[in-house]
Amino acid sequence: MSRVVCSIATQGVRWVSLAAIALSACSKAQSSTATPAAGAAAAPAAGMDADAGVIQEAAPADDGFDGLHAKLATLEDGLRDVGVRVVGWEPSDATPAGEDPGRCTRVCELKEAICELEAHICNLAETHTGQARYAEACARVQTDCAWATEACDACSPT
Amino acid sequence: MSRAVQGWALRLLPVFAGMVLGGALMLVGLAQAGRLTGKDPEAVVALAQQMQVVHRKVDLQLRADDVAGAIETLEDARTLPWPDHDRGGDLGMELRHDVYGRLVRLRLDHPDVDAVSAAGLLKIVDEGLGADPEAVDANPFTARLIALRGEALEGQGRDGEALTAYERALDINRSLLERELGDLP
Repeated sequence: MSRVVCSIATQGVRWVSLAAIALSACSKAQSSTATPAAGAAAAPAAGMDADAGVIQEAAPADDGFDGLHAKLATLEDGLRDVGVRVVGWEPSDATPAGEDPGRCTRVCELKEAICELEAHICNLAETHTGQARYAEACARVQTDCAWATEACDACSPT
Repeated sequence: MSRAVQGWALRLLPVFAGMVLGGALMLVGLAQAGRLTGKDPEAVVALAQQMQVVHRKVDLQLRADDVAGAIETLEDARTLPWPDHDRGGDLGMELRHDVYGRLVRLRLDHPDVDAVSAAGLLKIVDEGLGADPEAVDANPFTARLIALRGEALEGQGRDGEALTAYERALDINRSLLERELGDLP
């Protein structure tokens, strides 16, 4: 019996975690952006990452979601009552209401992407010296890279 | 029914409710976020979970310096029945562009591992981008795959087309940054 209970409880934790992912997806979508997660791998990956940090994101102040949060909290309490250690969304004192803690990461990842494109485009411009199209594209991306770098530097925590 | 069994049933009720609500919340959450715009949202949620597993596996393989294994894992993902934009919406396409982007990046960085020709690499990119990548809402995964298309074209000496791809990727990234900085709605 206890094995069955544990199995069911584990499933419960998994589903609650999925719910937390869904809620975090909503707060992410407020900025209309999905950002590749930087990982240990050679390339960024995993759009639907469920890292704990994501789950800590502030939730949108929507009546429907407030209701769902309340229901989720009740269900999590139920899980705790049966001895399950629930890892889920918790309000974070470190994040002021309305502020998106993932924004700086996204801005700096975009800066990386833009400045990487600068390298490619300006390398092509060097190969095609004297061709206006390449030179103009290089000048343009250099401006963009400088702008993105400024945005990232201004955003990064000091 | 004995009291003991009734007691267990009552205590397990929140667990079952949590399972049901969790699944429903994922669907509702993604739908409210405007991310489930396709005709088959359940399939996209299942695909998202599947891709999470794929990426975790690739993370572990790369951590163990098993590049060939990581490429094989991502190649296997290519064979999945990916939904088109109509069925999977923007989220389905983003998941696909993310996986293909990771595969192509690995192939470009490790050309000697399970080598493919420049034409073969471009074919993988185009397969990943699908018929109409412009229809997908601006996102970093599509931007990255388009930039990788530029690298694949450059590898074939098609510099003019490569520049076009880089500029398209730049346009997407610029619009994303403008959104982040609040310059756009």
